[in-house]
Amino acid sequence: MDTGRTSRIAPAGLLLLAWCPSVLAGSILLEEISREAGLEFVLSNGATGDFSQVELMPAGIAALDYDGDGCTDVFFANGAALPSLVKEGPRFHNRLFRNNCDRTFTDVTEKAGLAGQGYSMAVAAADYDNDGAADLFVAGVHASFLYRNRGDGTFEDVTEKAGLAATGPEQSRMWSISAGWLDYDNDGWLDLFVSNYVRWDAQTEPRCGSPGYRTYCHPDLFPGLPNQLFHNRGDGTFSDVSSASGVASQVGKGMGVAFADYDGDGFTDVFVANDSVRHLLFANQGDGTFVERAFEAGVALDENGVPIAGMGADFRDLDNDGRPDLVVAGMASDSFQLFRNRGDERLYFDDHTVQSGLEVATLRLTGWSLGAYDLDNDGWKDLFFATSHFPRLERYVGRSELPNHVFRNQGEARFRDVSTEAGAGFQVSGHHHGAAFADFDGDGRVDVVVNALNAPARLFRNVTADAGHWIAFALTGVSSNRDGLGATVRVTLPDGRTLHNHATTSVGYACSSEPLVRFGLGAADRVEAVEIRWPSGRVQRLRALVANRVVEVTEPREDGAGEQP
Amino acid sequence: MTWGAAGLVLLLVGQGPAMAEADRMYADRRYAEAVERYLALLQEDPENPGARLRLGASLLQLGRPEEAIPHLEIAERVAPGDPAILQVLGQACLGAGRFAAAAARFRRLLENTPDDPGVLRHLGVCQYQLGDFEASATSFRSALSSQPENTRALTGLGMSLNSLERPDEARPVLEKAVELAPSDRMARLALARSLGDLGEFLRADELLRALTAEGPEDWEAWYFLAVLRFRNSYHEQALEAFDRCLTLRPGHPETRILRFRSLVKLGRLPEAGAVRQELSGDPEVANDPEFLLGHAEYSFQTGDLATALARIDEALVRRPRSGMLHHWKARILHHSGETAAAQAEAERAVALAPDLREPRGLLVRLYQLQGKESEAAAQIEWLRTRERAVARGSRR
Repeated sequence: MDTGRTSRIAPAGLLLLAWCPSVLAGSILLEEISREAGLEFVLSNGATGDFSQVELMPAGIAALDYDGDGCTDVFFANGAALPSLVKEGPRFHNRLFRNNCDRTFTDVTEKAGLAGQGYSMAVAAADYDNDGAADLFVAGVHASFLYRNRGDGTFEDVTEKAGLAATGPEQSRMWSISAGWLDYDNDGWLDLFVSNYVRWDAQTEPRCGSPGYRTYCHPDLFPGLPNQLFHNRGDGTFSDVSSASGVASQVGKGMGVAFADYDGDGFTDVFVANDSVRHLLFANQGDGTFVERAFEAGVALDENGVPIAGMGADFRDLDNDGRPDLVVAGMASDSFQLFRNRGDERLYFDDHTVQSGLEVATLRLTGWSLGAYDLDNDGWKDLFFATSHFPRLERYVGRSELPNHVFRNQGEARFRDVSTEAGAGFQVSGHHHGAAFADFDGDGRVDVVVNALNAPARLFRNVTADAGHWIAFALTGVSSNRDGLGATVRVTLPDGRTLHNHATTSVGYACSSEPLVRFGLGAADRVEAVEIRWPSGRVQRLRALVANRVVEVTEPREDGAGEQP
Repeated sequence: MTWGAAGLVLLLVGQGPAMAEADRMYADRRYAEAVERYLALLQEDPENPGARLRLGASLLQLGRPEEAIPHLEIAERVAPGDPAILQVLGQACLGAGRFAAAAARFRRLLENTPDDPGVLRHLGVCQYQLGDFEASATSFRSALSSQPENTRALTGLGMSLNSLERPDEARPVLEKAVELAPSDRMARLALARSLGDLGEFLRADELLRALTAEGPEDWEAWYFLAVLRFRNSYHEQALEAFDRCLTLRPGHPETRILRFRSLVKLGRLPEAGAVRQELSGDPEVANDPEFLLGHAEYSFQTGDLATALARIDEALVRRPRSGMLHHWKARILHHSGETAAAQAEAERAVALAPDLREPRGLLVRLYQLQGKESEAAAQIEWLRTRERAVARGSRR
């Protein structure tokens, strides 16, 4: 079914060109329109000059369609006063902005009941109760909250009822920094994974730097925390399976979390980027348990055996070979990482950072949230990074406020920094942290919303002039979870090439992006075939779809074509 | 870091009016005139050890130790074992950079006065300069037993421990030296080095910043600052400091090499390429293993793996026991698809530098690629153990 959204038709001449990124080598152009769009939000981190570690880390953004009108809305998590961790007034409120479907937004926080409590860090959006409306989990420092979407524009705090309130002193000391929804046991209900950072206490927080130059501490000075997994019982409640599943057996300093089935066994695996200690890869055993296999899979450390200050992560197929690769942002002097999935169980991932061009290009950057999206719809996923150094790092790296960065995939996961060509509005500097991705204006080109510490958020509207054709799939699970998260989609182009993607909202750092599964098609104005592998195990095949539209697909009752959209 | 010659105080006992007049000039610090008088005296009595000693001391005070030495050697021959002559000759040799000769004189002195803290310090300096850091540490420690708050001895001990790669031991010694003499440049430089080696980047950086602010022409402080930043991967700021070093000491080979490596690390490859060409043509630099490593890194980043390998091989000829160079060779071979050869090199690197994590990280991949699971598991276990140690804070 065609959603009737605006379609962009490429000039006819373009259709004759071969499907090759160099042919469609125009600039990715991102226009900053937050003010015109009325998306006015300032992320307040509560900094008081005491260099509290907490104030360095916020905060998440969610791109979700909370009212089901087909236009993607925006939720911003926000900080709180320090050291109280209390939202003392509206400047610390979380905010929900409704997309008016005309490139403007309206602040509906109050009506929605989402102003929130505590020091919010991250947000994960998905329909956990399969009622067709996107819900929100807001993770934070020592307290996290689950908000159920009532479907009438309002949300209900169900944290307690759902069994997600802190149940003991251990839980109440968690500093949750990212979270994501996945159906790890393929039972049709979305479960919740929470990435926890370090043990932090305002009273005992160490002071770092020197008497003449106070600054933030290195994470080495804080003990790490285990991550958490909550199993959705399907009745609105969750059980803490962190220990039973094996997830809690590993202590890290968790940052971004990303999901994909890297080994193709039909079960979603979990990657957690860690800050200054090795990353974690929880390989889903398919029996409700996970085995941590980052070392064995080759993603624990960089090629030299060195951990980076990992930040955001995305788990996507970047070289169109059908296997999800991993990209991880890091801190200045780390270089961001790109692990290429070889599909070989002896060693799944190669460190492809050097070959990708990212090693040198990102050495001077600190990246936070990120996303692998085909921003110019040429058939290759590009990389967007929200970038900024820590405040106080100016002394060593120059300015700590940076413009964001975009890297164009030149094919086969080789990237070129095209940030300076991305338009004047894109060059604005800030302490950018969160970034969430969606096609907010429905033109088929993925836009980005970014927040910045104590500064206005940015909405980058993708106005890439010569973007290719596109197609997106809005999945509705039946046996699978309603959002279809975890479903993998393969499209075959008229020339026989295949493109791959999967459904996830867990993208980047502390953020949540639209659940649609998108493809840039380059010069192809249709796709020959589509294969969707649902988390339930069902395989659905569609044929001959016209491009430049969002295709709504409902999971069939049995394998096969189902209803042809 | 360089050591200055210590001041000389001679016990002057004149012999006759001419000698008394010359000694008065020496006492009045009119050393040039004193030299003339002592030379005149020696015209009449060439073997006079007192005049030779005084002449040598005057020349030493004038900063001409090389000229002082022959006179003092004559005095030593005429009056062997004389403590004053041994003392001044030792210091002249020290000032002239003849450390072995100086050490021999100080040892002779210690035969009679084994606890003399001044002589022990001088001996320590000689031993340090000769690269015998264990011995210099022992000498400075002995000096400190009778003068526990002598900042020169503390600094010498700290520097020796730094050179012995025991920064954790050096740090408290040097902190004490700096506490006792807050403006002592050498103690602060040495403390910055220990802190840098201990991963205390911020404190080291602050110390060196203060030194460069106090002495904008202090090349050594700038160089230490640049190297600290380079080692901590703050290449942009390192580059600035290296540039400053080169304005103060143009052509300094190590600075030029590390500046080139900073450019490579920063990905400023066209600029690095031009510098590489310039350095390749400079015989003082072209064969330096550090430059060859930089050249290899540059070639690696530009995708020219064959050249990268050739340069690493050249560097290994000069520094065959460098674990890091073997690791780099392994990395290049790995990227060239030569897994077995890469494995052999990485294993060599581990054998040579068991604490180096880089080759172990690479070995994990190389073993896994070849299905050598137990070998990979052993390296993984090593990396996990190291991570646990870091998590416990042992790195700090």
